[in-house]
Amino acid sequence: MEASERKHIEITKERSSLTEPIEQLIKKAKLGDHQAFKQLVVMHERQVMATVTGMLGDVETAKDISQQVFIRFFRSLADYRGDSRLGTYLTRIAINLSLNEIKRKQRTIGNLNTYKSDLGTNPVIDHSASPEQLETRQLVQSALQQLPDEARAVIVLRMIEGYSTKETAEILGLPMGTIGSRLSRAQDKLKSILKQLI
Amino acid sequence: MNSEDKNLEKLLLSQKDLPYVSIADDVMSQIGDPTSQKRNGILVDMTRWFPKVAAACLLVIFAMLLKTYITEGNLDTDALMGISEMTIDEAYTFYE
Repeated sequence: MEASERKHIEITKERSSLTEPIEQLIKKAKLGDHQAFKQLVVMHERQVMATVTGMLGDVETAKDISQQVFIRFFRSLADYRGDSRLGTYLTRIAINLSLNEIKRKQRTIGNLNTYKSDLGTNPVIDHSASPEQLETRQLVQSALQQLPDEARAVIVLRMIEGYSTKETAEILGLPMGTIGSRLSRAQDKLKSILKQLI
Repeated sequence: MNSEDKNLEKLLLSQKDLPYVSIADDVMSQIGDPTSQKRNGILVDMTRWFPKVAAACLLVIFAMLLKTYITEGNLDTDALMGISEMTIDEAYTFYE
């Protein structure tokens, strides 16, 4: 099954489990209905957290940044016109804030090419996962952190989050052709990093 | 798609279903949701008022000790209990 199809099925499931459509919730949230806004947060928090965790690796920082994503969305709620799907809009904010955080860390740590996460201190802990699954996840996360920031963003959006090339281009503000070439280069690099790690 | 690409896709998809802790309540609290504020309101009020209430209580205790000292001339146990001028007969009468 294609990644975009999987994404579509997930979104459909998400929407069908709601009592109200997203558009209605956004309208209510704009009118100051905090419960409607909370419902929007609950609907999208997993997606935002996954994107930010993929970008930063450190789960505690990812939590803080994800909160900032929704706070920023809340503050700009009046300006949100619904031109793009809410998930795409929030992912764009998540990627931008993650890149800002990476730059901030780089300034603090020194002039590094890539963001070195605190993966060792704050890894993602899943008690339901087997030791092998945990090891695989950490290995992939570690490999992801070794990619340049732009390449990582493309891998996270296209291959983990399952966005289409068009959506990824929209989120990153790049032409579709650039996404294709970046994805191809990022995949090659990731494969070689993983080979070294394995 | 060759097997290497398929393996990579499989590995990356393992990152998708990571466990997460809900941040909804934290977000709502930060944006000033009235229901979150109400939930945390009593605790916040108690924390905010505690130093003032404690200072007021100390002031009252200090004022009472001062008054006892001025009227009784000391702060021994009998003076504090208000029985320094009580005679044995009065004590018996009091307890009967």
